[in-house]
Amino acid sequence: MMTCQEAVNRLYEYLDRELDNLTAAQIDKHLELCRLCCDKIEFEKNMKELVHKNCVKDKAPIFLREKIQEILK
Amino acid sequence: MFLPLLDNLYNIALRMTRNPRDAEDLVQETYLKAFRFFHRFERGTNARAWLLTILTNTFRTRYRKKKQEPEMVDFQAIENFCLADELVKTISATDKSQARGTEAVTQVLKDYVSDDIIKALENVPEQFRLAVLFSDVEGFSYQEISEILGISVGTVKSRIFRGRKILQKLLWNFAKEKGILKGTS
Repeated sequence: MMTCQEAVNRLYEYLDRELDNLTAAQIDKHLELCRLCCDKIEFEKNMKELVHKNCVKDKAPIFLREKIQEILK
Repeated sequence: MFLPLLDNLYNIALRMTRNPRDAEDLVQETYLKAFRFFHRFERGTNARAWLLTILTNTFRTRYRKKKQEPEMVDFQAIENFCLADELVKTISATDKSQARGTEAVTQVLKDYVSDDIIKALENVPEQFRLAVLFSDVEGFSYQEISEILGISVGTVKSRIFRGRKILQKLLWNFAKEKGILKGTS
């Protein structure tokens, strides 16, 4: 059984889907049994989404879009 | 093929340069270069990664020295900083009715306004900020980010981890300043 420390150490790689299947499965297993780590991962996931949400909301100004269209013609 | 990526580039450019004027210039220059070097683009490969690589390199050569980057010194001892832990500690210390701080912690995240998040993000030093943006905003793998930034996968990993910790620390400072948390302002 993976310890909390081991799970926390891999938490970002787990969230970023960078772990091999075996390690990811070990973390899944740990998360099924550990409420504390579950909360932690949920929090980090929310943080990631918060960053995402705030960095996709702007639209390029119309004049810029027109300039780029001109360039790509 | 390249035009639909304009908003992606513009958003990243905004966070890189931290102001709309420079972001517009940066995006325009990126498209000019992409057009000029189009023969170097390998069809079938990721156009978004290619454009963002040009954007990053252009930013580095053109804008890096223009603006003062945030000081690094404050961020030396934050390897183990965890915003969730700090929030749980504070909330359970100030409000005994919260047996578990989880819901309250999630609520605190919701209380941050967009400007807080953006301000915090823009104060993360550039090398860490870019790695976090490419992971969280563009969803690139560590391998893809390593190619865009021209650094090893190991370095990408440590910059993402560190960048997220710095961001959390900055948000924690805001929470204290703004009194988002009861009893901590």
